Amino acid sequence: MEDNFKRLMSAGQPKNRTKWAHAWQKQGKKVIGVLDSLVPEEVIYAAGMLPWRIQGTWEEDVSKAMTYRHPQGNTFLNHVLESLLAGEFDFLDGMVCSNRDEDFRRFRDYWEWLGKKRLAYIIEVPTMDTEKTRQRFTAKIRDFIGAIEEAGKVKINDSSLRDAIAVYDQGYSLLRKVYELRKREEPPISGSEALAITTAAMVMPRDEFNKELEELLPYLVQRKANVSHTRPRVLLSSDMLDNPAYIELVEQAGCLVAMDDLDNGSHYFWKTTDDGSDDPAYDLARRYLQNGSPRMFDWRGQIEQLVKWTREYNIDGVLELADMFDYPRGFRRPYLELWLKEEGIPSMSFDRDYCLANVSQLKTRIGAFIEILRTKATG
Amino acid sequence: MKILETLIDRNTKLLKEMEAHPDPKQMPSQRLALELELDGYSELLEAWRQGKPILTHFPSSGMARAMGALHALYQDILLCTPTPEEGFKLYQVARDMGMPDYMCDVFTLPAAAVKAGEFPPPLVATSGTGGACRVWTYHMKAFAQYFAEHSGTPVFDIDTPHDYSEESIKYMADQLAELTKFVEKHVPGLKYNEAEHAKIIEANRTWVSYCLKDWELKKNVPMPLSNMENALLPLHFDPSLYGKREKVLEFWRQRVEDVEKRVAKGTDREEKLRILWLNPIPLYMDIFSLLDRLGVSMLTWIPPLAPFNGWRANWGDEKEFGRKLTPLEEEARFMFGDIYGTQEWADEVAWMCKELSCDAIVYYQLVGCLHIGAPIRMVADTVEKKLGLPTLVMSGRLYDPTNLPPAEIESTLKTFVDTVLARKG
Repeated sequence: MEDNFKRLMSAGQPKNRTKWAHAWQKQGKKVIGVLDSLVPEEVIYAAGMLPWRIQGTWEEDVSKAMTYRHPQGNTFLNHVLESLLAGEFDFLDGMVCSNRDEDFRRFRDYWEWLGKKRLAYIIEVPTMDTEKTRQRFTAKIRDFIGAIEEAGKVKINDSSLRDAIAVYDQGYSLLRKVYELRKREEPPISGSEALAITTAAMVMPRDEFNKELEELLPYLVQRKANVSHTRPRVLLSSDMLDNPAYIELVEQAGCLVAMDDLDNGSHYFWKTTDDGSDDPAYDLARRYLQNGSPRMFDWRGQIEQLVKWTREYNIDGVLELADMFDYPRGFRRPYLELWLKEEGIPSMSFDRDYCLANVSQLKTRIGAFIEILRTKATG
Repeated sequence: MKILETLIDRNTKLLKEMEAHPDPKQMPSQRLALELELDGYSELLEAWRQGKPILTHFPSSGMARAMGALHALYQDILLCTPTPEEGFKLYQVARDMGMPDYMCDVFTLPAAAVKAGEFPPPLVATSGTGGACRVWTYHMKAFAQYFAEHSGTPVFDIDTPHDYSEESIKYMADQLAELTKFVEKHVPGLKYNEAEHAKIIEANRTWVSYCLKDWELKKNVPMPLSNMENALLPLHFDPSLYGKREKVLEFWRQRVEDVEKRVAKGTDREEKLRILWLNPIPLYMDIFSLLDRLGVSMLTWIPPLAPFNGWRANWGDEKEFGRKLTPLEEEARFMFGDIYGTQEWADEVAWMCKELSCDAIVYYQLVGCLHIGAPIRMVADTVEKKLGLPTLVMSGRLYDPTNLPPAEIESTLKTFVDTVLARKG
């Protein structure tokens, strides 16, 4: 079973992550690249296409991309562009992203401009969750359905959308169960293993992922993670972090990442979609507007969720490792620190590059934070 | 308050100097411009001292005026800051507020100026009103949160749509209507007056018609204005920003008349090159005079504020959607002025270069401004491909010379001008 678990965790690794996509295409089916977690993947899946999460190269050199990019642009997108220019996404039948921020919006335009014209779709995701924004987003999801139908020459009806939602909801629930196990003092998986599982979900056909994870769950219940430290327990907060080696680095500094606040982690599956309403597009709108990203305006609500997690997961401190040019997160930072402080929760924020870089510097800084947590714990 | 007092003092002295020693070469509209600025600073300072309602970090000047409040665009005032040092010190204030170092100066420094006590704090704060520019959106959000946290300022969040359509305009206008109610609830004495708003829209329509005439006159070769004279920012003299709207329109009428006279009379300006300067300029050095000395005419343009090239600045237009828009819909439509795809923008820049007979582009990439910074490559390549024109990219800030020292700007510009001249033959 451990081998099966390791195999699942390796699905998101660069050498493996196109495997399922290529197999899918061999069956004559289309694969659509998804740039961020605000895109309702269920729509793509309902069309019989594979939503495949785009990652950037994990190599440091992005010199080709930087001839196109703003020096204060999101480093994740720098690396994605480098991969795009290298032809790594040529196999895709299209790309979809949200208007997460200005950089994502412009990035879509470059994708199209560089001749990747098959489908370069941007979906407008409102910045708030109100009845009015849900209605607006529902309409945008309907537009998105139309675009996918046209790209795939298929029809998506409410029934097929409901089916896709059910498959995805099952996956979300399974991941939730895995995360429940992380509440234990000696959890079955480390923080880096948790990220490896969630990112595996993003490149595999969801029903296949669900089947594998469901089979693994009884094993995980009994498993004990091979971690050097079980204390202090840290909650890691970031976006566009998809390399488990980053979390390994944090854990090697002497702590356990027991919970996360990641778009590629907890936010990806925390909410399910099916709400029993008459309109599956509306259900998707509701679910995706509650995504918890700092890009949404409800900063207070996001931090309240974080505080809740720190209680539930017995967290000693919150570590934010933000992409160095993640604007929404950068602007939320003072309030993250302030509101956590008000709750008596120690926190520290460091900027990072998308690829694993400045390792020594990060290790020193993270080590200092962990030392603070240890000192606090021992009085 | 010091910045406002210094600016009032400066403009008063300049006007007295003009009075005492009239310069026949000076255009009468320049005097009006100085007077208008002085009116604006004085009105703001007086309102602040008397505790009158001032709305800032607000989506629209016209809306604020239509509610009986004064609306101050602090970023515009900061563009006129007496000395670069006054602006420079605000960076540290912004850092102390927790702003990241990649903040966009245009929207961060005004908030820092409020924190430093230079400008009055907002009575209500809004977020999400940056049109397509989501960098602006998050700056606004951060400021709103800051004032909510530290001064108890009520905050109203606005969700700005991504696309330009009648439906999006309605969606936005509905939120603006809710905002007026929110302001009425939180700021006693303010009441939205639609009829007054309609009058402001009408003044805006007249203003834009003058801007378009001004734009046409810029096509003259050689450029009849010095770079400083040409640098007047059309949004700086938006009638809804001022209490005396008629005076603003009089300024624009006079400005157009002045330029027409210059054109008719002819100019002895030596014009070796014409460049389109995109985006703001570094305010810690005199770019205008430097380019004048180099024989370069500088046709200033700030992309997000582009009503004067005809870009969707269609106040009062009834043709676009086949109906008359309500004043709030007009505001919403204007807010979408910067919503366009990157290629569309690049094509627009190429069109402008052609219309203005430009020889090159200088793209001043403001640190932290992805809205204007991210499209650079596409703009440069498009203009090169369509017109064979080169683009110089410089990355800097408004007031921080450490990022791009004046000597470096000067030598870079000189080299670029020489290169373009050689290329031009």
